[in-house]
Amino acid sequence: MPSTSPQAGGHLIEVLGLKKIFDTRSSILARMRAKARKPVLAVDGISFHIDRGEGLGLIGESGCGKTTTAMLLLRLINPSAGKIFFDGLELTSMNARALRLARRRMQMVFQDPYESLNPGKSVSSIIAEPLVVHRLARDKRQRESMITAIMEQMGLVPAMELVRRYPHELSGGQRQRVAIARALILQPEFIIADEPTSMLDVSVRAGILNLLRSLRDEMQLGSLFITHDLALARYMCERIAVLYNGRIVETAEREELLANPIHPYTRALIAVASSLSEFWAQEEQMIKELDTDWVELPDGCCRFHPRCPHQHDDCERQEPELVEVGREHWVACHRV
Amino acid sequence: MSEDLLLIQDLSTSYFTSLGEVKAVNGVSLAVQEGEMLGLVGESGCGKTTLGLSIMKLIDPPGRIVSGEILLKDIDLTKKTEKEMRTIRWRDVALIPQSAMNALNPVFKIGQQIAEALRAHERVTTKEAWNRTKQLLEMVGIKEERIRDYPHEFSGGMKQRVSIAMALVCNPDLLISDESTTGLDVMTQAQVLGLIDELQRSLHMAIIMISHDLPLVLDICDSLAIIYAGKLVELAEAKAFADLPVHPYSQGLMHSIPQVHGPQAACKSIPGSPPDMINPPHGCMFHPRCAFAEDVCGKSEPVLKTSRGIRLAACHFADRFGGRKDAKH
Repeated sequence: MPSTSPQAGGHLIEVLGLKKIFDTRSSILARMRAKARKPVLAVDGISFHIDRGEGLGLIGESGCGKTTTAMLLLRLINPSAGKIFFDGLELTSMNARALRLARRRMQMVFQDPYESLNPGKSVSSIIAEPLVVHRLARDKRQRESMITAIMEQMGLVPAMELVRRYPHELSGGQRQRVAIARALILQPEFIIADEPTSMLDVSVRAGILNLLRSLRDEMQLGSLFITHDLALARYMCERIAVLYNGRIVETAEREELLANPIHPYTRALIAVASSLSEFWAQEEQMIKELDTDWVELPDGCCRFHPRCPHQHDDCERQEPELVEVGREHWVACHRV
Repeated sequence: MSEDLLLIQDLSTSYFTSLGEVKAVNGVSLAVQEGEMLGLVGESGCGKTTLGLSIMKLIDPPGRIVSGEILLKDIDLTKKTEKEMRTIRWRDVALIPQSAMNALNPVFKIGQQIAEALRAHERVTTKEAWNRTKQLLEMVGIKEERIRDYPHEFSGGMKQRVSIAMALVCNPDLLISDESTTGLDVMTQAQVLGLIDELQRSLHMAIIMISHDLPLVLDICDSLAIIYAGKLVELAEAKAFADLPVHPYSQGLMHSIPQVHGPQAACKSIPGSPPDMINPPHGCMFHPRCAFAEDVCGKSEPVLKTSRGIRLAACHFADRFGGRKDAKH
């Protein structure tokens, strides 16, 4: 949703023209190769905003830039261009000290709870770590009561018993609850969840989803929910943005997007999620399959055109811009 | 004896670990007809892969098939020696193992790898093998000129197509696909499944599709079997199952999945977690997590018997939920 004003317009998170270029030629080895590849535009000029208590779902296939976007938002990596505002503060130009203060207010839950928890630390020291890092609640008893309270809020009961355990003694669902507890102990205002349930079994998945939903309502958390599953995005988020190859190709309120998708990629995604047999029946009109993982695109073309069944001349010459087609419904396609 | 292509009777496969016996597959009976697509659904660790490997007789120590029969075209595979199995595997039953596409050898051309699989099982000349390889590649939607390409030159979906072509070298009657599209992007997954569906029709092959993805299996399979803690808990036609899952575990699974269309109902998770397989609960495996559990559930184990076309669930109260617990065999 390109904002008209260059300054933050009162949103909790406002991202303007965010770009991240990974230069694959920077290593000596790569430079020695005869065929040097172009730099990878992992995220290429995306803009969006998230309000307090609101969830934005970022949908896309692997390698489209979802996780890079998450890492940029927390400034775990630095953007190549563009601006990120958090509650009116510009994260992109902050010094280390200010950034540290801002990061207290924004946290992340990672995809794999089997890898994101340190196996050598007990549950209590995992959850306490953000407090240690930010030098908060230095009184031991206060810290312990905070840990117990957050564990109970996460459904990690009996907290007194679980607190002494190590990650290998917990189930997948419990591990993810510990990861969420660690993210929320600082009472953040914004949280990024990167495929938080994809490693969990179906029967425990719903519990984690419902926990995240209720926390969002209770704490008025703004959230960015990264997933490749449309049904999950619909369940978790008010708005959905579809990312393709580093660009937002369509974004709208969830029911609007599902009912009136316009971009061919969104339409194909919805068809696949609705009924495979119907998708197969009209696959030719929906999307082409690529033979290789890497397609070198000429500059200034629509990134989707190699897979798009409805091309016309403009698609190879010009990159389509996001156009508003309905209330808060934006699409980047020449056919609009 | 029967018209079933595959008939599994009371099959048990266990792993004998230092901590005790793990009954990964525990008294499973099921049947697959010619040209049928059966979905085998369950959570991680429920024994679905072990069941698939048991049919192939690829269980390695400390695992072993403890009891039961696996009748493939009325031949009991459990009585076959390893040498005899070598002539049965690939020809009668083939497996696409989990992450098969990453198992392609990176230093050989894909054509060589497919031809090698063929030559290992049939007496053919190099030229014949090469021609058959071309034919197979065409069948899975890969252009002939790519026969000399290496695996890294293919996309994930295309590599998966290569591994499907490889499984089909000897025209098997039964194909076991173990999570063969897990890890692919949704769009690629849809396209690869489309290919499997098409091949199943044109070759009239039976397929056992092992998956953890219930909506996907409901979408493409004719029938499905739900496995919980090594036990078959429900067997049903996909359409009937979608309308009315009978077993409380199946009901729980259906309630835990968010929908893309229609009214947005709140998802519910199943409380608790799967049982410790070394010390499984007494009675029904699911009773500690079941909302409908009564005294009898902790004492005696409900049974499930197979019979075509009738809904079956291994639950003491299956009648209450609309299924039939027992039927004439």
